[in-house]
Amino acid sequence: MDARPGRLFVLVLAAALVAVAGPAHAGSIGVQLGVDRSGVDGDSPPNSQYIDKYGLVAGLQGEIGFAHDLLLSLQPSFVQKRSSVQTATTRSGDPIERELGLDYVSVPLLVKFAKAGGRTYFAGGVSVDFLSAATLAGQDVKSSFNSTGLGAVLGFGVVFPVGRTRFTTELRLAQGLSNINSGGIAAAAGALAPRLHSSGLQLIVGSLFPMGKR
Amino acid sequence: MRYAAVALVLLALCASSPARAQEGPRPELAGHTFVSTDLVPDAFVRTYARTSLGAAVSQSVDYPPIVVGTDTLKVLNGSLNYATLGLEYQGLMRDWIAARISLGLVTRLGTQGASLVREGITLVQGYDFGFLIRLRQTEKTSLCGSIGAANQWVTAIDMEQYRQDVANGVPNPRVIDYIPAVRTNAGLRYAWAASPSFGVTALGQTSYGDAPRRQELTSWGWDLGLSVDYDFAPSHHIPLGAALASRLTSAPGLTNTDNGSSSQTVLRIAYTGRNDVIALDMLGLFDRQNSLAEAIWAGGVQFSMRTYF
Repeated sequence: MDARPGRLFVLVLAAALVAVAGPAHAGSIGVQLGVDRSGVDGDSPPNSQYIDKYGLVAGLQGEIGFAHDLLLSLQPSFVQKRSSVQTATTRSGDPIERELGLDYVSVPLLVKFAKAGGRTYFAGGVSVDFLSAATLAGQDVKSSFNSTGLGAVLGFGVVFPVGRTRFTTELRLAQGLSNINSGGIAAAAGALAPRLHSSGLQLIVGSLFPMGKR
Repeated sequence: MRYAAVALVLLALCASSPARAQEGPRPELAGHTFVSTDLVPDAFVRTYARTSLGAAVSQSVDYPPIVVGTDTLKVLNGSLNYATLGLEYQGLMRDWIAARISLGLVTRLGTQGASLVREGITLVQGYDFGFLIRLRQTEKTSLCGSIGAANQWVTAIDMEQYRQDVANGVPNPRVIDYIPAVRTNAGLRYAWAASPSFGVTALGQTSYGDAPRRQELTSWGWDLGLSVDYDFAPSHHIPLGAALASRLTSAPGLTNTDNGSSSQTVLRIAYTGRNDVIALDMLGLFDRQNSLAEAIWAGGVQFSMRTYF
């Protein structure tokens, strides 16, 4: 797995966040950590089904206010989407299960609507996802998946202020909009390309430190 | 679907204390209170919850003979049954923007032997979510823009397609096919209060994403809708309203073959309280179900409740 482009991308975005949240803006920057239960949803091989598993979400977050109680938030993160492909066997016995792991550098751009005096918020926006690794039962299958994807995000969060730091807990619905399957192998075989999307929930906790003047 | 249900509950919790910069709970312009339908949604940023449950039956469908190799099989007439279930919540974020999420289920079932063989059973379930944004509002008009995404699963039990696939030697033919389809959409909604009693609502929407049929990978689609409603309260002082709405869609999800657009029409009679709309809808569906069969009409009823907060 070559993660260097992903790392470089995250560093550039982090620098951009720091630059955006300069002294002239009421901005915040911080980190976030959580779990993803998105997995994949869509076409499966014959007699098979996808079962969502838990993956990791870790990254940075930065936000700036651009209107009254409205915030623009950028959250470059490393996101693991985990599923198992469960295939029924013809003989009576346990089904065969193979782990499908998709690692992304995901960049959600969200608008946050502060509610209840800033103690809760509703977030909505889009995310651009860059595939960094894809494995099926330990084998590299990155070529079978598109290198970039687009998703939509709806989230609800609660804010816990501690001094100047704000801790956040957010539950979000993450829906992949583009087909993550590249379709190359299927097309080469003359078959219809399967449709696969990521779809599920993410639970994320984070912290935000104020930067610049309020 | 369960993930969307969680999101719907969270949205309802988040918007439970609406930022009430709105004039009234129900959509109103120049003394006219609009009677919205589920077919052509209103052009107002409001907080509401909606449920609906309906059913429809088609007229008799004449099917052409089935040709298998050199044999021709004559088939009898058939008919189709439809059922629909919907749940929606729209929550006000600000007085100019609302977030919405809805869950839906529609089934189509061939109810006689010929229909069952030719059309099979189709179940469409899924959710869609998005935002409604107020673009411009005058004394008598309102213009809103919408943007959203829909995730649907079409489960089709299609014996006719299976027969064709077997005859054509298609690898891994399926009796039961499961077709996932994610589509994004954007559109405009326009409302005009023609008088205290009459109102007009128009809808124009385009969508792009996975095609609802296997033969295509992705497709563009469009929807056009128009609704004319009458509120009895200003003239007769009774809490009743009526609306006639029609919607034309280029990508009907319930057909097995791509035969062009289909149209739906609804006549709504509704009790219109200060916050509530309890409606009985007479449904009409005009659809070309199969490339070889003639276009058919289906009719039915739907019960719908909508509460504004």
